[in-house]
Amino acid sequence: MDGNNNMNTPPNNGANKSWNYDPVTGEPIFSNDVNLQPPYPQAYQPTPEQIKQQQKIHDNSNNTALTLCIFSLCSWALGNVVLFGERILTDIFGYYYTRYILPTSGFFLIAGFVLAVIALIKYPKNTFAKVLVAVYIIEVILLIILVIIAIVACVLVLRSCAMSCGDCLRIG
Amino acid sequence: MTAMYRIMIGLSFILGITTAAIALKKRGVPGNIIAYSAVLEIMLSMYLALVTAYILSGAENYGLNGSGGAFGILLGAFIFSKITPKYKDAIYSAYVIILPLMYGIGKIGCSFAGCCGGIKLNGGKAFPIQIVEAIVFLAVFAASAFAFFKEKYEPVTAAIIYAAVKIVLDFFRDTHEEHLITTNQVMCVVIIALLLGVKFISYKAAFFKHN
Repeated sequence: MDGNNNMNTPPNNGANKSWNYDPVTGEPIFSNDVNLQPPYPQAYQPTPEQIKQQQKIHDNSNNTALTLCIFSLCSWALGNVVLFGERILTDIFGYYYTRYILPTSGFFLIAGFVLAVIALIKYPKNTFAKVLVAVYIIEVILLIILVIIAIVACVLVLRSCAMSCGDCLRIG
Repeated sequence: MTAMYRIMIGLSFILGITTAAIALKKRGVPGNIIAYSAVLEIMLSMYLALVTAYILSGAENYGLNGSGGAFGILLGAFIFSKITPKYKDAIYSAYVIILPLMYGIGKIGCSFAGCCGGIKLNGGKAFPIQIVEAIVFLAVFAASAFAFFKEKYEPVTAAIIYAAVKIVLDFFRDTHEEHLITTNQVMCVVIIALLLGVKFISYKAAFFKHN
C-alpha cells in the first residue's frame, strides 16, 4: 500500500516547481509553470459494453419503434390471412376474393416488411424489430422455395401426363 | 424450352441482385442494409411484375411483366433511399444498373420459350426481337458498368435512356400489329416522366442551395 501511495505522490524536489505526468511513459514531467496542476481523476467514461447496453435499453423502450413494429406485425398478419385464408375468405367474399382481394396480399406483406426495416434501421438494437425482420425474411425464403417446388411439380406432372399417364402418381 | 425460360428468369434475379449487392459493397454500404434492400427489391419486383401482368390482362391471368418488375425495382430503390438517405446515391446506382442486365437475361429466356415475338417481316418470318433486345440490353449494361467503375454513372439519366431504348425496341414487337402504342410503351413514358420530374426537383434544389 505504501508503495502505491508513493507512486501517486508527486516528487517535489524544488519549492517553486509544479508537475504533471507524461501520458505515454507515466513519468513525472517537471516544469516551472505554476499553471500546471496535479492530474485530476478522469471523468467517468462508460465502457463500449455499457454503451451498447444503454443503447439497447433506449431502443427497446422507444415508443416510435414499438408503434412501427406493431403496425408492421398487423400488416404482415393481414397479408398472411389474405394469402392463406382462401377457404374462409371465399365463403365471405365469394368471387371478389380471388379477383380483387387476393392480389392485395403482397402489398400488405411488403408494407409490413418496410415498416419493420424502418424500425430496425432507426433503432438498431430493438429486439422486436430484429425478430420481425428475421421472421419475415425466413417466410419470404420459404415462399420462394414453395413456389419453385410448385412450378417443378406442375411441370413434372404435366409432362408425365402428356406422355402416357403411366407414372404420374396415378392421377391421370 | 419453357424450362429454359424459367431458368433464365431465375438467373436474371440471382445475377441482378448479386450484381447490385457487389455494387453496394463497393460503395461502402453496410452488409445489413444491403441484405434488407435486396429482400425488399426481390419482393417488390416480383409482386409488381405479377400484379402488372394481372391488371393488364383485365384481372384474368397472372404472368410476369418486365416493365412492372423494373418499376418495382425503381420503387424499392426510392423507398430505401428514403429509409437510409446517407446511401441514397449508392442505392440508386446499384439498383438502376441491374435493370438492363435482368431484362437482357430475361429476353434470352423469351427467345427459348418463343414468347414476346417480333413483327412479321415481308417473307412472313418474325423479326427476332427477343434476341435483339437481349443483345442491346446486355450491351447497354456493359456500357453502364464501365461508366460505374469510372464513377461517371448517373442513375436517373441512365434509367431514362433504358426506358427510351425499350420504347424504340417495342415497335418491333408483334403487339404493334394491332396497336400503335402498346401498354409497355405507355408505362415507359410514365417512368420517363416521373424520372424527369425527379431530375427537375433535384436541379431546383441544387439551384436554391447554391444561391
